[in-house]
Amino acid sequence: MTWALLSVVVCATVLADLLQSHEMKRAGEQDVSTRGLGRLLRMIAHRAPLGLAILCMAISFFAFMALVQRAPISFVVPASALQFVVETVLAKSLLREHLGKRRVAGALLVAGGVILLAK
Amino acid sequence: MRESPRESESAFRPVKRRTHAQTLLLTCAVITLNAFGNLALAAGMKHRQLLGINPIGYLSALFDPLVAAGVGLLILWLLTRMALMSWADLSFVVPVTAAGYVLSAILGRAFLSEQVGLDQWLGMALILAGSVLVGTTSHKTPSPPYERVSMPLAGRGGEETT
Repeated sequence: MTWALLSVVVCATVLADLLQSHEMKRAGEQDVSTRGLGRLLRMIAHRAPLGLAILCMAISFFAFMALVQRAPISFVVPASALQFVVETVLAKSLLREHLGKRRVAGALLVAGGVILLAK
Repeated sequence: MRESPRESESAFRPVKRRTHAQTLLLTCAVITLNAFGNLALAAGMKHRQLLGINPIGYLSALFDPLVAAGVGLLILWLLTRMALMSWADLSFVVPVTAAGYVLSAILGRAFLSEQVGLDQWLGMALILAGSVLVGTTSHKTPSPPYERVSMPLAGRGGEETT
């Protein structure tokens, strides 16, 4: 059950992040003032991909809530970092982002850290 | 700076391009909000019975002060992270904010008395090293294909369709 919940958390988070990144790049750089955050809330209500991203995050959130009751947070949160590798690969193939050597090396370091954490 | 601004594209943006320092500052805010949000959420959920698939149990948990505080912090985290994604690449945001997982684990050990073994410490060190390494890269791909598309909700006169 723990690993099933962890899979739901990771898959839903990856989809949510891809949708968010795609939409936020289209929207352009946003402000982080109170007014800017309010505008971000309105964007969630008006843009379907962002709404879907929030739905995926909600699924991930409730799966996470169930997960933290079954395993320590010092395992749960770092283990869900598996999303780093998947998202880095998909960012290049789907979002056409440039991945330099340092980004790839950084993602591999994170992956190594996740393997150690899951021991 | 690390970024490669293209003046011809600036008219399509609602707000000017952020510097790498500004991006890292917002990243720190995102990391902190996430770590303390997770801590409050975990602290509130530890005292409750195991939840099944019934959504009522999850909704009732939201009335717990610690859970509510955690949810509030995570909503703020969501909005600031969305803003960060408009400033930087996903392949930059995701590994760099991995430092938040390390902070969460440290907070879990400090406030929730959770055990962290040697392997986990080493894993966290690797994650932190990876985050720092990616943090030294340029935060945005120079010529993303998103610059000249419709932005119906971007506001501030940034809307334009090609």
